[in-house]
Amino acid sequence: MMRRIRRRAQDKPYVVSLTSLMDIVTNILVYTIKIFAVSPIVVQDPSVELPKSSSQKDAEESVVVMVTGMRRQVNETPTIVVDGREVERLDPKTYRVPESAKNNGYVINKLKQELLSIKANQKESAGLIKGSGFTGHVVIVADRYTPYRVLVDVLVTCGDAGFGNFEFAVIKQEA
Amino acid sequence: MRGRFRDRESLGEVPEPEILPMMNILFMLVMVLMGMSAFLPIGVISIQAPQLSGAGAPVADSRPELNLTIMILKTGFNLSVAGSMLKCEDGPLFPKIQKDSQLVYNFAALRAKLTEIKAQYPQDKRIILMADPNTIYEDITRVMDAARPMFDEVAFVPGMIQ
Repeated sequence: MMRRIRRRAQDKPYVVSLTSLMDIVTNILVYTIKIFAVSPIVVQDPSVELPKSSSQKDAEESVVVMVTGMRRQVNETPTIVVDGREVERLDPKTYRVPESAKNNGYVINKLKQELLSIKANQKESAGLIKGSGFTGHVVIVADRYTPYRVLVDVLVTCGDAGFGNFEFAVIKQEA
Repeated sequence: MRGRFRDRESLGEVPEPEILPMMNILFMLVMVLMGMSAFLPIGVISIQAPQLSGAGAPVADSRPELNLTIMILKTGFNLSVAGSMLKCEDGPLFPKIQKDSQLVYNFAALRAKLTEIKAQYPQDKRIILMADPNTIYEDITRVMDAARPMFDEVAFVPGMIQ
């Protein structure tokens, strides 16, 4: 009896069943896609560490103004980035926007130009793509050590460029 | 070729589909998506546009205007309610407290006071924030958290406290 079973096992080549592994991989894939669908803002820059907040409001698709590299990464120059494009460098010693880069004490010239360009593009796309258009919506993604002075400069500039709906990005934390 | 299939059929074996290439693609997709996402639940806090002209013009209303202003100083918090300051004579209303050998803002005391004010002005939802230029974003976020959900409309004032 044992000899017959052993012979049968030798005759038939061993096939690894991948079906269960396939299920696991598909589940992980669905989970990761769901996370992407829930959060349209992804912060990958290691120099940006968001503060935690009890706010449970979800982020929406909008223009992202990022203030990077404050305080922790001393060797890295802090920058202001709009939708992935660097527009202005901050003074690494004072962590402020240089006065020469500003107008009226608050408005950051290059940031305003970039935002006006985005605004023009959004208005242009409104006629071509249904459901698109200028919303005036902007999300500020700033490092948790960003000083109030820089935040106010960014906010005033956004407002001056016509972006009136502001939101601060945070990491959701249970209250 | 045809003979081989006929042999399998005659043996009663069901041919399994080749899922190995599809597995490879799915696995690569998972790796790419995992690499791209930070796996942090990102939320947002809505704020109002900074007012260059200060707290705003008075509205014609019989009810007194709250105009609740939170001032984040280097040494603690001060509050302004209906145009009058609540600060102490010898320092801020809520000075920083010692915690783990560090001086930190007293968010609990601020929250308690805001709850008290909310009971007197149940209709008002708005706070105005002013801060020292060096106040960090994390502390500002925690002040907004302390005010939520009693006061969930936050306005920033560009004016700095020196």
